[in-house]
Amino acid sequence: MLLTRYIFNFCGALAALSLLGIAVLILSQIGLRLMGSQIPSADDFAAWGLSASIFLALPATLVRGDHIRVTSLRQLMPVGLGHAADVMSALFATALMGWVAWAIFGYVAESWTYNEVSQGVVAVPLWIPQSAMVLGSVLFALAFAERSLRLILGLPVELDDTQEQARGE
Amino acid sequence: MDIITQSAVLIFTLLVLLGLGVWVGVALMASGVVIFMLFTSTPVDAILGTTMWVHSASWTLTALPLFIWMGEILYRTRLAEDLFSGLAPWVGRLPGGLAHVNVVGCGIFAAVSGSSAATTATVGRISLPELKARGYADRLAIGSLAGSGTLGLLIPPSIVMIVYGVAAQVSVNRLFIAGVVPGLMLMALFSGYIALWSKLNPDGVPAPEPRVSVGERLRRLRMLLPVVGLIIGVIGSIYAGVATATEAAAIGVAGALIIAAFGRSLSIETFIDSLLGATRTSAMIGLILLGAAFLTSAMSFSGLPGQLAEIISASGLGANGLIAVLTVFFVLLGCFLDGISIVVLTTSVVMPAVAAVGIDPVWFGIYLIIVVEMAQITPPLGFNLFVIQNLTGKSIFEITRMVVPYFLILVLAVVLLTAFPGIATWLVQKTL
Repeated sequence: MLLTRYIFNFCGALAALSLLGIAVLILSQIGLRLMGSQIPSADDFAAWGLSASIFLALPATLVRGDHIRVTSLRQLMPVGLGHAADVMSALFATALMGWVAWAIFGYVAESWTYNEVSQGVVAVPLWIPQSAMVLGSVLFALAFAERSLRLILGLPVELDDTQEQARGE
Repeated sequence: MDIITQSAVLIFTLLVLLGLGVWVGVALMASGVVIFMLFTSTPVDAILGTTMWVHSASWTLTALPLFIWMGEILYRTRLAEDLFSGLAPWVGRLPGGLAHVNVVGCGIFAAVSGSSAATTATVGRISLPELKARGYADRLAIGSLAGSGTLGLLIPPSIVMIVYGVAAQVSVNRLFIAGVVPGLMLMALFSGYIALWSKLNPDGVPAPEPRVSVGERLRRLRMLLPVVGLIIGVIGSIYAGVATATEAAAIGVAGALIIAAFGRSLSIETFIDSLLGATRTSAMIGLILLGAAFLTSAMSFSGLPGQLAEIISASGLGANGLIAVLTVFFVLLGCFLDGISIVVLTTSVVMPAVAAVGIDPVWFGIYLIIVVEMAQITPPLGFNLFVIQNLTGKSIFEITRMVVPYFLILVLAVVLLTAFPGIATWLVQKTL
């Protein structure tokens, strides 16, 4: 099980690099614009970087307990029922995210088959930036599957997460 | 299928999934699937792929992780200490004394941070122990912090405003400009209440601070110059129309890194921590946004929001009536849902109805932000309450009691905003 943590953290690091890349790209674009020049398709690259950053960070964010869920009702449940609700949510999310990963894979495979390219100045085959979505969503489904398994086996999943969730608000 | 069945199915699905503790983004996506399968004949996989790609690879949305990162960097600097020592001599002799540091400090931090929880945590970390040591009543110190912390959402930059702007397709720049005057108004209301309360409850406030010479006051205020420079750089560039929200955010990240470097609080460790923290927070918000985008597209096929809009405009409820109904609804929702989920659910279901009764989407955004501010301080789920619980160790129930007056001030702000829409729209018309 530890192996999956390494993989999720590695993808999380890639996501962070992607965010750093967006910042560097936009700052260089501002600098170049002041000198009367520009990076072709910079807006496209930044947007793709964001897509990669979001999807690649999804599994690590789940493992750290940062994804928001409503826990008010869950906290009122007796221990046994609460545990059952946790297992059910995790199984439900595994099934849905498994399907989502499959649908995204189909979408990107189609974009590869029909050789779709971006509309900007630099024409890039879209499956290249889109493949981060495939990797991220597959690992996200896997992270939910691991969570279900851990819950069923009674292994720990994460720390208390309310503090972490508050970051975005 | 008729609108009653469809609404009932949507509400039932969301209630069951959220109640069970399914992640908000996952529950929104699942509701989208249910709507697609029961009420449309569209192939759902094809729509899902497109929605995920179009809504994640979005230029406008890139402002979001950058502003989050900027806040994460500043959270790790000495800014909170500087805010307290710089502002304290200026407000120390007002009625209510150093409690005003909470209001002004949160106002200033809100102008460099997009998050209400980060604002509360940063300012409160220094101000709560200082106020306690000087003998201020807990009610005054904690209440004013929880109330003022919500300014993080209203005073630009604001994460929730970006979420609203992206989801409702309203210019983020316009929203940022529209938030300035309502933010200042709320600061004045909070400070006014603190002064009034202190006059009525002299026991809760210690003797005024000793007088500090103007020279010394200015010397201490000088430490805040870098932050003021950053505010001018970020908000000023948007206000002057020379930068998009994304560019302003990138400038903000660079400025925050420079401030952290000069303040000797930048190390490889804090840099990586802030970057990873920002990445995870934006992934968390990203999942909710993607879920909401998918639900929105499901409902654009099934036609629920459009039918709802027709019913509401035919009912003769009018703009003010709709706002009154929505406010009650949002306050209830805010007890159980976080702000971002409230915003995305609103934009996917009631936006067409809002447009149908003739409400300006920029004004509605500001209204929605103030309502979300209320959600931050209503139990059992109120993120600012959690932050303060963590800072003070007091129970949520105790903190909630102290926060009630500030909640009512937010209600007053909604009334004022509805009576005088210019509070939000005047500056926008003036500049853009």
